[in-house]
Amino acid sequence: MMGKGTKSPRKAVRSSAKNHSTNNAFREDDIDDEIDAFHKQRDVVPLDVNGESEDEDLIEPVFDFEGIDEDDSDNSRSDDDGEESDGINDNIKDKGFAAKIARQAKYLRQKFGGDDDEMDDHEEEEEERKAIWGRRKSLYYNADNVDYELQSSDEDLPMEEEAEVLKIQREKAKTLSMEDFGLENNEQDESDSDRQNDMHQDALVGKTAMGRRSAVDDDNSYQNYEEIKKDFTDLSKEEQMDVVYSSAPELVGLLAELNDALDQVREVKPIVHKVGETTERGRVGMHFLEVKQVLLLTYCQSISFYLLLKSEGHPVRDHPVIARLVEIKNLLEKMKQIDVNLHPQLEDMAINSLKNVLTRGNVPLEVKPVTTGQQPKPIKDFEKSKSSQDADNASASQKKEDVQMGLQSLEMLKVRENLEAKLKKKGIYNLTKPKDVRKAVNGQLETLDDFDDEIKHTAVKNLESLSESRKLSQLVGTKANKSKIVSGDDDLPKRDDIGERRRRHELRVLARAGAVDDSDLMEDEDGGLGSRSMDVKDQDIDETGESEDEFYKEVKRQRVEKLRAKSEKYSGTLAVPSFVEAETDGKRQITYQMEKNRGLTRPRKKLLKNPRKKYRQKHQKQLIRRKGQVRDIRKPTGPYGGEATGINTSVSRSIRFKS
Amino acid sequence: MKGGSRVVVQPHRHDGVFVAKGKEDALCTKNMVPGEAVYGEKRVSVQNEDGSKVEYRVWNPFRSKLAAAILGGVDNIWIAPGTRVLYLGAASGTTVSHVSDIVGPTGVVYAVEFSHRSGRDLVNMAKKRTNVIPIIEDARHPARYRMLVGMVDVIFSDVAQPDQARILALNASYFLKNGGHFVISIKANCIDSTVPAEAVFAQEVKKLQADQFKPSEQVTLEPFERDHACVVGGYRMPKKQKVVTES
Repeated sequence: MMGKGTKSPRKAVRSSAKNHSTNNAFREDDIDDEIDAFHKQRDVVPLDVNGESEDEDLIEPVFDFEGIDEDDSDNSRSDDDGEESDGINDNIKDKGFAAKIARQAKYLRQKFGGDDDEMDDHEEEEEERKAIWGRRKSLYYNADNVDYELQSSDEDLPMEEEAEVLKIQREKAKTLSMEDFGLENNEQDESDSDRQNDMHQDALVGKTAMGRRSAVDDDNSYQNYEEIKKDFTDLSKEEQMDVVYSSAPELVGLLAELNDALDQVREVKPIVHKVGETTERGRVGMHFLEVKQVLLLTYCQSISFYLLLKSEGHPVRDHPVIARLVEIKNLLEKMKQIDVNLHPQLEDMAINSLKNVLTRGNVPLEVKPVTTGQQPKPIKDFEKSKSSQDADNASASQKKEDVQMGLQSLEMLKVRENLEAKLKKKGIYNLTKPKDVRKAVNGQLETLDDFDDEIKHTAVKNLESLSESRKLSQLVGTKANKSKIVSGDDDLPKRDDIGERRRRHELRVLARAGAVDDSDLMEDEDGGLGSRSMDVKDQDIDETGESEDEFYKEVKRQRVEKLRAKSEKYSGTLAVPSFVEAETDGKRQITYQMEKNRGLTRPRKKLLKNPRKKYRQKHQKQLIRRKGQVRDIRKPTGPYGGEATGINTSVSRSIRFKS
Repeated sequence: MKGGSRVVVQPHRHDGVFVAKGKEDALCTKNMVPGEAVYGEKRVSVQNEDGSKVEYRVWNPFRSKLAAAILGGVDNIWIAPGTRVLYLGAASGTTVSHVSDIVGPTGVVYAVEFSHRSGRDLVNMAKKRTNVIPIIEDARHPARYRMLVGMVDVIFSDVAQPDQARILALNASYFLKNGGHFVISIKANCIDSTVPAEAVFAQEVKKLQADQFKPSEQVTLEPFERDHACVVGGYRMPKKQKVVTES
């Protein structure tokens, strides 16, 4: 058993070498007999491709427990080979030579079939290897046929390489999905926004276009549509809708509402327009209609803002716009109750107006009673349009519709502008606004106005809707500002902190728009935030005008007085010395001697006048005297040369004791 | 000596002491052993009219208290040519050599020094000078060297001991003649450093007076020594003249 255990792997190796010998030409030539082959194989073994299994086989068991060994090998191979090989192994295990054959067969299977299995296992790696063609140059060059490579023509090679690279890149591109770029969510959002955009466009077109909606789009949105089509193809519609519902459940409802509101606006606007022309008639109706219009417009605006936020991926959950939406919604509900009463009356008006519009703009605006059950409809339409877009028949009619749409939109814009201008001029918003709405405007649209900047900064995707919303926001924003002034601190003095210069500047600006101010002044008191502030300003103008004059006069007078006082003072000072001089001529001046006369005071030496200096001098004098009494110690410096001061031999300076 | 040939040597008021006047004035004594310096001092040789050469040694007041006392203006040192001098505390013999010069061949200097090291130099110096008798012995015990020393005219004491007055009195009782003189150098710090130098000097003078000494004068050794004083006086002075004046 021992011998078999050791021998069998070697045989397997040999057979593997035979299999591989096709790769190595020299081996084929050289191998003559079995012994040589064996030796060579032993040398070659570690270099073999299938190193892992070889290593495993090469382990020479010292105490060969057949079962264990087999089990191990089986376990290890069962991973690679699969169940059927196990079965075979188990069957063949015990039978001596048959076992050998079986093992060889198994090995062969491992070599070829096993390779396939390996490929299955390491599929990713293989693919990677395929995709990344040229990791290392040495893999492809400098092989055994170096000479041939050198000889081969250089012109062909780059071409081939390029073709190969292109092919690889194409394959790579195929495998890449949107997830790889991390674009999927954005695309989804974009699709949402585009869908909204489409709806908006549809709403603008009106109900008449509903039937052929799939074809109706202006160029911009159409382009968006085209771009997105590819993305939609990736997901099924159900999936898309699921995503939409899961991410923002209120979105679909809001879209429907937006549609609805726009329809209503469209409905109301001509009526308002018409009624506005003939103001004397239904005053109450007029108010109501205007309020309704404004409300609807703000609603549209907030929804579109919400959509904008959504499309840009901002978190909407805690945003004030949600509360605002709810509020407006409630108000609209209230409006609807009144609407029921006024409806027949309005219908008449609407019909009349519609006729006008129709004759003017060729737009069949159909008046529809407002119903709440309309909500899911636009989405269906949308989907329908999407589905039908692929159809060929749409393409021809689309262009026509586009042209028509352009005309219509232009018309509508013009009308809108007129309306806005009028509203601005008259300050109708302020007139007609109910109190709570205005408060809401103060509270919320302020923030909306703030976010307006953000809108400017972001990339504009849905141009039209954006521009509209911006206009609206601007409009409402200005209004909000005005109302803020009023509703805020009415009692407090507003202009205290503003300087004189600033006020004058404002006055100048206002003077330029004098007519407007006048008209504002003519308005009734409620009209005005603006007008009231204007009043204040005008008062200021008057007051300041008077006060300025007085102030300047006062200043001038003061200056004159000051100058006079100054001149008097200086003339006085000038006059005095001359007067004195004149007097001195008459009297005698004292002489120098008289001036310096010190009476009986004794003259002192300058040094002795100061007691400190006097003591200092005394001390110095005493020191000199002391030198004669007690001589200071002299240290010998160098060899003694003698007394520099000389020696007086005749002097005797000793102290004598009295006996 | 600076000044070269223009140096003039003049005799001092004290006999045997000369002053060499050149650019700087210096005390000097006539060298008993011409051509040799005792402690590396400068020498001045002067040629007389008869052609004989006389050599003088410069006396350094920083090394000799006697010289300092002379420069300080002591009235009388009582050491003169031909006198016999007992020198207590001779040390290396610098001052002794000058004293031997002063006393000359006719005089004698008994130099007493207790320290052997200093005594060696003293002995070496005394080899050249025949008038110097070195005694290496403690000055407190004059009986030990009483056979060497005869009767002296002057005792010079520079022992710098607290009981220097007693030492002086003892030696004077042994060797000093009646009517002889003493010159004592007092170092105030050696006697009592707690009191001012003048007080110490007065104290010492009192002691001397108690031991039959009659101090006549006192001179401080500034600027050469600090708190030093030299007291000069007589011993057992005769009262004959006093009696004469009285009578």
